[in-house]
Amino acid sequence: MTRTPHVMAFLASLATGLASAPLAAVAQAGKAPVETPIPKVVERSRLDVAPSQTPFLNLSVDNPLGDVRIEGHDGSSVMIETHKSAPDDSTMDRLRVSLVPGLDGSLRLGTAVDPGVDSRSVAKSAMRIDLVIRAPRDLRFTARVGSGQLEVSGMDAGGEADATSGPISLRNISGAVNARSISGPVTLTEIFGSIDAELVDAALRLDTVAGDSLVASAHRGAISGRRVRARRIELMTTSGDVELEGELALRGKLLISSLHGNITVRVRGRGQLSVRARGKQVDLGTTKTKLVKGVTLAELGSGDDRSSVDLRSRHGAIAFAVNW
Amino acid sequence: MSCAGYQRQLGAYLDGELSDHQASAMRGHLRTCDACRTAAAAESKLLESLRQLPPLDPPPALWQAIRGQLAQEEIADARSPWHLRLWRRAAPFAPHAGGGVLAAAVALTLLWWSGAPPAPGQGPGPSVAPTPVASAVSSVAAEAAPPSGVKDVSQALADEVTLADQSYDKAVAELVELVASERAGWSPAYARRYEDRVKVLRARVDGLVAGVEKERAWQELMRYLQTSLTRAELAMGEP
Repeated sequence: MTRTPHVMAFLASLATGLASAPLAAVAQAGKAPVETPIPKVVERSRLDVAPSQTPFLNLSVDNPLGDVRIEGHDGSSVMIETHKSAPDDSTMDRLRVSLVPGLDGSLRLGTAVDPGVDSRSVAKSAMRIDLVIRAPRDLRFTARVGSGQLEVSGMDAGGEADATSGPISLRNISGAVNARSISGPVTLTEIFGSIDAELVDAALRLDTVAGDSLVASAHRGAISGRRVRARRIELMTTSGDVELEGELALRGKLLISSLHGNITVRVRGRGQLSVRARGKQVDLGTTKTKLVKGVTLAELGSGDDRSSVDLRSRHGAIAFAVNW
Repeated sequence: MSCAGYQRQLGAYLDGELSDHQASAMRGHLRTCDACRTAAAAESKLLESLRQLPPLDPPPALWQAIRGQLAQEEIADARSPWHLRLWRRAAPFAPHAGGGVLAAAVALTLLWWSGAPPAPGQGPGPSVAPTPVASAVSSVAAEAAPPSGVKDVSQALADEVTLADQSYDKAVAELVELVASERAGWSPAYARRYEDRVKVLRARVDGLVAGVEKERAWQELMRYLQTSLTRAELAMGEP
């Protein structure tokens, strides 16, 4: 009997193929079905809260689930618009907005997610709650977001803004403002009052700022400001650059320090300026400087009202210019 | 085909579900048969009015009920023996499997006849069979488990608080390290003051749980470290 090896191999592979076909089909049948996208459920509601006897004085908003926008208005009531979205009804039922008015004129607004009745996991990105609040201008705000956007405008009693990674934008605010962020950029525009800003890994932008004091620090972010005017300005970064254009108040104090960042300052001069700078490279825009123990000193302008400027960057360059 | 046969297919014809050939035959019959044409017109009118009805939203509980029923079936499936599960999955393919088994049997016979033993994993014997069983079982297990990689929102929110805490911790660690590399020129008094202050601020941070108050404590510590890092000479009475 003659049996060629390739014929046997062909038959063997045919048998294997035929035998594995239904088995592959079984495996195919075991695959999870492709899930069809579930349409989003959206819910919008609006609530007007009028003060009973005492007017509202403080508004506190804590929304880790989305954006917050607060707009000042001339009325006395607080109007709250809630925009909720979720992948399905059961998830929508888990989204909660709470409103707690206090006897002291405070109004606390918060969002949360209930644990849910089933064990199904729902991603945070699949749901959100956005809040739009129209509040009396003379109400002081405290607002906090996670990764959402925080916008406040048209308020006259200052406030506090906190974000984890979402951007903060405050515009047209009077009164003392505090802004804190870990990694979300902070933009402060048309702020008329003292500012205290502290950022970890984000940039701070200031535009049209006037107040008694401006204190800001950023660890890894940069600080930039234009049309800045304050009696006391203290800016500090670890590695970010600082760029400032503004005006020093008479008898004002400007102190900018950084470890690695470059410092560029352009101010409109008034009265006498006493400038001290310490950096890897220093340019004070004048040749009339003295170097004392590594510090470059310059006396600029004239008059009885003396303002002080102190610029220091251990590893960065310093450029200072005055426009009289 | 009789009129009754054509009329049974009217619904499918009006829904466009007949093949070209069947539809052509239907059109031909409708041209010649008044009774069927009348029936088709009535049916068409009915379908049209049905289409005009507003869409009916299923009650929210419907999907919950369906999901619950599916879950029960999956649990029952998981509790049944593996060979039953395999059979249920393989049943739709039984006719094809029969051909395959027959072909495999022929091949085995030929191999036996040739005197060569079947190569491991190539024959239709037990070495091949466990593979689909295992994959079927694992896929059932995968379907029963919660979707992998999806972190529930409650957990995600708790993680965000922890992440914020870790971000501050990391930034403070960086600042402490930078201070250590830059403090060579510090006066002993200033260095001692720095150590004491950092100890107090750090203890405050460590005594708080992650949250707003702890963030404030971190911020105070960070600002002190940055001030010490960039303005130490000022505090030490630089000219």
